[in-house]
Amino acid sequence: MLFPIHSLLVVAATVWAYPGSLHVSFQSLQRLDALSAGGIESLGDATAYVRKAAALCGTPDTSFAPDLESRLAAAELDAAKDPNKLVSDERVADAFNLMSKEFRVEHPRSLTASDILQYRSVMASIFPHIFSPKNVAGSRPVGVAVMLYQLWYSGGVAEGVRKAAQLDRPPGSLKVTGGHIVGRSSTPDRNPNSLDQEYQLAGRKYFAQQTPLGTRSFLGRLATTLGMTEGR
Amino acid sequence: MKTKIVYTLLLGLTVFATCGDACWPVPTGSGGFPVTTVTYLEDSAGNLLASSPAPGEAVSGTWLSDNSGAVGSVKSFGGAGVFTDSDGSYYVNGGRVLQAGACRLFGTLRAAR
Repeated sequence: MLFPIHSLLVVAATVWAYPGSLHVSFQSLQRLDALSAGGIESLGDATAYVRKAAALCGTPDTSFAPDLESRLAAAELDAAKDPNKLVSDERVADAFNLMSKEFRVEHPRSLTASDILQYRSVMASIFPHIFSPKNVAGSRPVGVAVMLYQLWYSGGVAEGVRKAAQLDRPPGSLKVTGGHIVGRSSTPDRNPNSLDQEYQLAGRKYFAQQTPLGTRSFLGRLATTLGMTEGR
Repeated sequence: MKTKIVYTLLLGLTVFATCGDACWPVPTGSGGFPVTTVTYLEDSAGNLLASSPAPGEAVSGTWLSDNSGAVGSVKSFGGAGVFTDSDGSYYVNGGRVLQAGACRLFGTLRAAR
C-alpha cells in the first residue's frame, strides 16, 4: 500500500491551509459517524466512504491533491482488513505534539499515548464508528484526521474528557436528546485556559503564512511522525 | 433481558470574538475583528467533552465603550443575513477594537438562539 497516512495528512492540513473550506461541525460528526458504521469490504466501498467523508467535512472536491482519493481509500481498506494497520495512539500523540511545536503555540499541551487512548475512548461513547473504543489497538485513518482536527480545535484534551474517562461509558452510550441547544454569548471562559482559541489562532496563522513548499515540508514531517516512510 | 443505559449530552452554543489581545487576521488601523460560533458538548455531569465550529449561526454585536487608542468605525453589526460561514466564522470589517493589532473590545456579542 502506498502512502496511505500521507494522503490522510494532506486532507487534514489542506483544510487548515484554506480556512473556511473545512467545517467539522457537530452535525458533520453525527453524519460521518453514521457513514462510518458501514462495512468496507472492497476498494469500491472504501472509495465511496472517503468521497462521502470528505464531502461531509467540507471538502467535496479533492482534485487539489493528486491521487488523494485513491490513497485514502487504500488506507481505509488496509485498516479494515488488518487491525495491525490501525494508527497507534503513540503516533497520534507525537503528531499532535509536532503540530503544537510547528504552530508555535504559546502554551503547548504535550500529549501522550495514554491521553489519546483516553480521548478516543470518551469520544467513542458519542461517535463509536469514527473513534475506536479503548479495547481496540488503534484508530482508523479517517478517524485520526478527525481526531487531530478535534484536538487542535479544542487545544488538546479537555479536563472534562479526563473526568468523563473515569466513568468508563460504553461506546455509543451518549446521545443528544432532542433539541437541547443552549445559547450563550460572549463567554470565552468555557475553557478556563483558553487553549482552544490559542491553538486555533496558531494553526490558522501558521497556514496563512506558509508557502506551498513549506506546507508540503510540514506534511512530510508529520507523515514521518505517524510512521509513513517515503516510498512505502 | 439486556438493558442499555443511554446517557444524555447537552449542546451549547457560544459566540465570541477573542478572549485576549490576539486574533487572526490581525486588525489593522481600520479595525475589524473575527467572530466565531462554537458548539460545546457537555455530558449530564457537566463535563465539557468537545467543541466544534457552529456554522450558519446568526450573530450580532453592539459596541459599548472604548478608550483613546481605539480604531475602527463599525460599532454594531448583525441583523438580517449575517451568519457565520461553514467554518463558524464571520469577520466584522472595520469593527471597533481597542487598538490596532489587538482584538480586545468592549461590547456584546450574540447568537440568535
